[in-house]
Amino acid sequence: MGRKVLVVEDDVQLQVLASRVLQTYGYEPMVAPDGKEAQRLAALDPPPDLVLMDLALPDYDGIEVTRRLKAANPRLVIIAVSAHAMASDRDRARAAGCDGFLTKPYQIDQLIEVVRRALGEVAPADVTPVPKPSST
Amino acid sequence: MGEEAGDNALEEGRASITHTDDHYRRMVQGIRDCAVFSLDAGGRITSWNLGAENIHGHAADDMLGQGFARLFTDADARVGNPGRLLSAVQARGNVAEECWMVRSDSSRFWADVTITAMQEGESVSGYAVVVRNISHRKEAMDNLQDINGRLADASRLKSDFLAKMSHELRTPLTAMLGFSDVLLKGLDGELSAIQQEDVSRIRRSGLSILELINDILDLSKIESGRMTLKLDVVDAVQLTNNVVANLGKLAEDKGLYLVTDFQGEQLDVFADTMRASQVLTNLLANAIKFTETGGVTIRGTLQPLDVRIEVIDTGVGIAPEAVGMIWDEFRQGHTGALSHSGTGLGLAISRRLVNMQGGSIGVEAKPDGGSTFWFTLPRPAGSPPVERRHRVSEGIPAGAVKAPTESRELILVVEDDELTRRLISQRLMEAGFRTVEAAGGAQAISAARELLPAVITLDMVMPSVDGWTVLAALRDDPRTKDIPVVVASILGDRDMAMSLGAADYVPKPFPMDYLLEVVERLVPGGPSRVLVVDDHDETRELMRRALSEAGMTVEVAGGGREALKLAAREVHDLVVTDLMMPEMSGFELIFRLRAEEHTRNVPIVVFTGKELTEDDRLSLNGQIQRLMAKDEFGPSDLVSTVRETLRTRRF
Repeated sequence: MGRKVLVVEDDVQLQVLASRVLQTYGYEPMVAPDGKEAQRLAALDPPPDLVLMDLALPDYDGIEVTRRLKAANPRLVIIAVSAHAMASDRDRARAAGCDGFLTKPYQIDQLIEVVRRALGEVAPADVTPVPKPSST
Repeated sequence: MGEEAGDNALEEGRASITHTDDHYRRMVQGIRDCAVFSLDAGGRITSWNLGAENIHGHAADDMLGQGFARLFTDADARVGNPGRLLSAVQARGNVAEECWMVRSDSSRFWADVTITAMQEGESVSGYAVVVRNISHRKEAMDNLQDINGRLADASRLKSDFLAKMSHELRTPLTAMLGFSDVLLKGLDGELSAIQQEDVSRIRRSGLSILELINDILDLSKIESGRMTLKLDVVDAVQLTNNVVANLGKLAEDKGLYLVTDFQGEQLDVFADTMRASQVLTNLLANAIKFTETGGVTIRGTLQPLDVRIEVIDTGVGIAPEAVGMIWDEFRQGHTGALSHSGTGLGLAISRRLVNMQGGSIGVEAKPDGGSTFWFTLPRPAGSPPVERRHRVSEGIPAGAVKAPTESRELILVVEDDELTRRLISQRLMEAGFRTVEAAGGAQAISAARELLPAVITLDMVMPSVDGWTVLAALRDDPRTKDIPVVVASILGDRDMAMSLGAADYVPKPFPMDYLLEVVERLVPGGPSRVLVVDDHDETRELMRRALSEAGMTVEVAGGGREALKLAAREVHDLVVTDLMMPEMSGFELIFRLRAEEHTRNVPIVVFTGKELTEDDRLSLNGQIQRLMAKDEFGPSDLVSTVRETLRTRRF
């Protein structure tokens, strides 16, 4: 059973992209299209091991959702994902307690590396796809 | 008989006075476009000319004997402003003010009022008032401010729009690039060679869109003044190596050589690492893109004030007629460039980024022989001069200390203690001087004769040849006898030093700043006089202190008018001004300074918190020497900028 990753993202294409890539590398993705659903899924037992949080969501500001998730579960690992290539976004994310930051558009290797680092897994020097176990 | 003659003379004198008096009265009475009237000591109107009738709409008969306050708005009159104005005139003799005044039909106009006290002995017997209607000027100013505000709004809207657009474009791009990545990595199964090539094309096109978005965003940030720089001391060699490492593969793929050449120099610059890398990346990527055979050399050289980095390629070159326009947005000047991709914004952005960091950028190109793109970045304040400082021992090789044109005067530091000598030298260099050090008396004498420094700092207690001997030797030699010598000594022999011809005396131990102050005073031309204009008291004080501590003579003004008064009275070497000030904007101040003969050429440094619009920049273009944003630069940056500006002005 892979570790659970909650993908908070309103763009359908990107939901599919992130899920597909995460699955390929052995993680178990869940998708939340908005902040409300993100809070619901993050409160499940057991909670996700990691959250990929898009900062521009239809209902709440991703920073605000991050704050709430962190308030409810301080040990939750959250990576901010932003299409704003501005340093201020990065600072705001860090201030809200994010454990990592990813700029859109990201490469698959970058996504995987950020996830592995945030989860404390050792990123192998050569990031090759881990074939999906056929049993799952 | 004698008495009668005296009476006659008196009578004639009286007649002549009455005549002159009448003459002036008529003259004043006839002025039509300017209200001129007089008040008695109590503020009641005692005369009323034609202009006053025109401007205020009251006939003289209605106004004579009336209180002065009637001419002001009710609001002003109620709080006693007219009376306060007269008190100010009593105190100062003369007051000029702009305020609202009212006409007989209760309409108001913006007035320029000048009131002069009429003295009778010690007391004020009345007032002469001159009023001009300057409503049109006020209106024009208000209009301008309004337009300025709207332009700023429009510019902000444009930037917001671009930022939002960039965000909206990135999301679908992420999917496009991401799924190409998924395909190329074989996550969906192996692709055939041709499929792989097709997907690569999609991916490359996506990347060019991304590049374009980033460039447009950068350009808009620069234009709206929102691009902030993090300036720091940066190792240019390291920075270059990083960029080369990133682009090395690009050159390798084309079979081009890519070499660096720093001649073993330590090249420190004061710059923003990310933005400086961006510039170099741009130039290098261009060079690789437009070169088919041969390769690219990056050369770094140390110059007196900056580091010059050249990107020399053996590529297609640039047509001479295109050289001037390659810096414009969306232009590519390379011959045969049609087949090349690229946003065409890279050079435009690079130019702006380099300028923002205080450097310059350019190109030397032959249409057939490749091109050399170069840019400079300033060296950090207090860097040692290019020619290594040398200990003077057996005479000085001719031309050992060349005069780097932009550096300040040469100071000879004579001191046997190495640490102290270094400290003094360092402090002087920070102030922009060149220094030569001598560790002993004999070396000091020969160095002074050979190099003729502007000022000498001399330690008295030294082994073998001591300071006294040096001082005497310098005074005996016609070449060196006029060089000011600052004597530094722990011995309390000020009088003896001065009698031997020392220009000044500094007791040891001394604060370095004090020594610097003395040296600044003795250098030909004396300390620089700087006028600081800012309406914010604390900022102004902060700037004053920083500049004074740097040895400059500083005058301050809280606004444009005061600044103009000071500038009219005294010559300043440089003016530092804010832009947003209540009574007169910095723009107007600069305009007025440039309009006056004696301030036309004074260097102006703008130190402002205002976000500059492109129009602001245009209107300042060519009028000022440096522009600094308050939120990006502190007082110490101001000092180094002021120094640098002064330095380049002096020579």
